[in-house]
Amino acid sequence: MPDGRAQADTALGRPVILIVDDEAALRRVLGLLLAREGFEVVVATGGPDAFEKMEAGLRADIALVDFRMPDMDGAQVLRELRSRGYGGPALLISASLRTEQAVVGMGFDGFIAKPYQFGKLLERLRELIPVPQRGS
Amino acid sequence: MPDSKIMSNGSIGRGGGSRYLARLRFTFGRHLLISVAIAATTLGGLAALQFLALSALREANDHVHAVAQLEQLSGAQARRITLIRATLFPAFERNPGAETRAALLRGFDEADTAIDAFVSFEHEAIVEIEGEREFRAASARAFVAASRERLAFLETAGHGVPYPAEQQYLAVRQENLDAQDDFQAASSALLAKHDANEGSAGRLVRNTTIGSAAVLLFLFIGYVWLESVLATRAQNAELRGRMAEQLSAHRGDMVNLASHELRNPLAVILLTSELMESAAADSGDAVLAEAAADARSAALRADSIVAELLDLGRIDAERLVLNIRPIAVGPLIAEAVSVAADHHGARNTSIDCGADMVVLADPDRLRIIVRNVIDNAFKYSPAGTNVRISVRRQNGSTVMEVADEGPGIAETALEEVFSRFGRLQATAQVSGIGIGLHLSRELARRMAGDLHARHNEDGACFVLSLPTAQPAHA
Repeated sequence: MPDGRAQADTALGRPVILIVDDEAALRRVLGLLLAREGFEVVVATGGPDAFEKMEAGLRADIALVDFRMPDMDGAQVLRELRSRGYGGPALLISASLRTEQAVVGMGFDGFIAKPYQFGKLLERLRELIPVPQRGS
Repeated sequence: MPDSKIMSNGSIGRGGGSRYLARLRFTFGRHLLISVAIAATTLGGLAALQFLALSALREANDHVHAVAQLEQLSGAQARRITLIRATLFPAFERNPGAETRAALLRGFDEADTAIDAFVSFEHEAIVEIEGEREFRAASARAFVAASRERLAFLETAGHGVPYPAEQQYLAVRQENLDAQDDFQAASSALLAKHDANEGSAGRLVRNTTIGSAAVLLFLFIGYVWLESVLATRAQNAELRGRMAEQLSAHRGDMVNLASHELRNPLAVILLTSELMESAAADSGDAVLAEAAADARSAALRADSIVAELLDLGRIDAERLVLNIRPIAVGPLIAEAVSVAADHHGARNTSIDCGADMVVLADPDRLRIIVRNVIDNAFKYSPAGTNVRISVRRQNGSTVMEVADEGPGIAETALEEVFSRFGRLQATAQVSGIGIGLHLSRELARRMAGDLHARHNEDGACFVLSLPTAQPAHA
């Protein structure tokens, strides 16, 4: 998943998903699953990595942000993304927070608790952005 | 309907220190007042005792003074008689002139006066020796009378002639001497008694003084000791509270850490199994697809166990946060039956639960309870047997009963199955770690409900009760 393809794919109409998670295996498998569903996936290892990609011209349609990460937590990452001009929806994905109430006020559009089944993530994505038909 | 949150937290929070200081001040003031009251009462009692003792002492001194006066009077009488006996008569006998005769007569008069003074002295303390005084006075008077007779005899018959009165005089003199001895003995006894009284009164005063000091010292030491013990206890309680608070915080941190560290790899496994399942389906590899589905199911089961362990940790750390809201029981039962059938194989399941069976509970926690109870029924009942699930209203609660046709539970083990890791030994071959029922009961009770078991004729029956959600009014 070369990050440089993001902008070109957006132009082709494939929704771009930004995954911000410090767990490499999770980034990889989630990227593969989403790619199979027709998304263009951009992964970031944490807040600073995501900001760099934003500055490099990334235009994501939705951001999936982990909560507990070494540099800064998911809420801080989203605040910083917003201050850098990101206006799309964002989902918080957390292994430690367990309820919607726990993330109220953080500015996210939804919450998914780890571990989750991929189908559940797709449901939430469909609520927030146009989801491509599989294989498109 | 708004959600409500329940935080069960028994640890000592901030402000414990100021409450402790306020309590300590209150305790100190209360014990100070009690100590002052005890000291005042004791001092008052001691003062009364001292007053009584001093009164007794004054009375005893008064008596002693009276006895001394009596003794003085008696001594004057005795001296007059001694003068007559030892001096005046021998002087008259040697020189029976007018001068010595007049001296002898004056001696008689003085003796009579002294005897009268002795007899007429009145004091209540003298009553005790009244008989002795009368005897002593009578003897003295007899001596004086005999002396007068002897004088008359000497004047008429001359010197050196025996006369009965002389014999009588000698006898009386002996009696007088004996009486004087008796009087002295009685007087000494009285004085000794006085000394004894004075001694006991003095001892009483000394003892009460020493006793007062000892009691006050004891009270002071006792007060200091009590305050010290109370302060130490309060400090220990505060220390224990802080330790419990820290332990609770550490447990909470551990729970959060474990939550993150266990669920991240589970998420990887779950998503990877789904990727494999999807890829296998695309390539037509049915075996791989089935294996991947098993992996997915196992990951979900592992997540359930992790969730239960974490809830148990939260309960231990008093950090369980519940999200209470109205929730329909029926869909959770259907979901739990489906999961249990996947895991243990199908049973002849009957479900009697209306759509209006809605309870007030935390949805995730109610799911844990319902899954555990139904999984338990499937787990312990043989294939082909019946599992009957019914939900009804009862006394303002909603009651779910899950009855199976397994081996049942002995009456003596009905509570044991709810203990932590309390799976029955006889069923050790059945999988599970033995926290499900324990956790389910703990969760039910924290949601104002309960979970218990009973033994039916054909198996076990678990009964869950929870508050019924009131229907929303228009």
